[in-house]
Amino acid sequence: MGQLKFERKFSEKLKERVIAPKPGSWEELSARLDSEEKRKNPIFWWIGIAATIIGGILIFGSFFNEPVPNNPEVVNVPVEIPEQKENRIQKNASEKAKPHEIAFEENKEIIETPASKKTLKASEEQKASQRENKSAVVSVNKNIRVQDPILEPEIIVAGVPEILQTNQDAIEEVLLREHSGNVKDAEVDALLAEAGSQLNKNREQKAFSVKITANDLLWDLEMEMEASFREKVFEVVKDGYLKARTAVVNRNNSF
Amino acid sequence: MKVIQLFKNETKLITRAANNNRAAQEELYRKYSGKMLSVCRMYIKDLHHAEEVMLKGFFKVFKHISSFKNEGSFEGWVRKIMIREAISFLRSKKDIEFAEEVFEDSNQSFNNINSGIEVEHIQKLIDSLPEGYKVVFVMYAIEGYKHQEISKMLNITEGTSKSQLFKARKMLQEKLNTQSISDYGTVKI
Repeated sequence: MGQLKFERKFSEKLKERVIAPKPGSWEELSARLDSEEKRKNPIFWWIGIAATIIGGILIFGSFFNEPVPNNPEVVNVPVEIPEQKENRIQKNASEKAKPHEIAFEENKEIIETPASKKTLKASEEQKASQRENKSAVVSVNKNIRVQDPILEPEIIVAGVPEILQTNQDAIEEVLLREHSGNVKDAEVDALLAEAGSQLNKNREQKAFSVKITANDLLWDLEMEMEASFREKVFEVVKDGYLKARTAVVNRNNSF
Repeated sequence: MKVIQLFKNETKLITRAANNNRAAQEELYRKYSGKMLSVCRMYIKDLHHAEEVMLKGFFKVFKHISSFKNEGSFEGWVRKIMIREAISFLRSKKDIEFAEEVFEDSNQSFNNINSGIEVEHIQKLIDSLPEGYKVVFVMYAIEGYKHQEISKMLNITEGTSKSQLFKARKMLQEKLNTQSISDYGTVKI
């Protein structure tokens, strides 16, 4: 069923027809297009604003999340068993005391070196090293006293300065002689032997001297207290016994 | 040469309009608005509504002008948009109704009236048709769409489209015949 003749005529005439739109129709359309563009633009603006805000938040977040060096860090400390703690305390105590022990051992070496010198051949190099040791010991001891005043003076005093004091003259003499080059091995050995014997004497004296400690005193006091309490009990019992005896005697007499 | 020149000019105009050039858009509007209002008027009886539909159609044209690939005629593309917009308008007004009827190809033949009537009169005849008949008739007889295309665009069956056209033709034929009798000797036939 194709187009009829009148339909063709209709089509031709209607396709040729032009109806002028009302004046101002373009302005209306233009305004609609403008408003559409404006509506589009805010979307881009909002996207931009949102992106800026998110970026800002991220930057600030990273800035505030940075660790502050002044604030102490919170660290999970593992719970220590009391035994471990005690061991650690003991260790620390031993570490504290170490420098003195080292110094003391070094002194020992200095003092005991003459005894072992028989086995070791004395040479000029060894002497030089010994001299270095001696001076090192002196300086170490001095440093310890200056640097660590918290330590108990009893520990520091333990033997070392005493030896130094006693042998100071001899050491100075040896040093002077060494400088002048007049020192003999035999003299050095004799001096060191003398210092060693003095040290032994001191040790023996200390060993014989009675030590009174706080624990001993406490123990004695406890013993005394215990004894007095026992005596008191005995006295009370004794009094009671006597009273009872006199009472019985009095009763018998009254009968 | 002149046709090629015009085509080139129009292509440039379309490109500029696609780049939101208002002047180019205005030029295209001035060029096609009269014809497109006529198209809208064929479907919509009220001129104001037709104009409103035309403006909406042009708004869509300029919004989607970048999707036009210069493969066919620009006028044809714009016309298609106008027709769709007009159908959409009629659907929104619920004026358009298609009675689902089985088309029976009757042997009734239409007289080929050699109409010499004016365009306004033709429009009046078309306006007198029911909306369903009118749309199918305009699409088929004036725009040259096939029943398959009409059925897809109007979401109806091909049979419905054919029956709508048949009834529209019959109605117009009767009106033209009546007119020729009443206006005997005065109407150009």
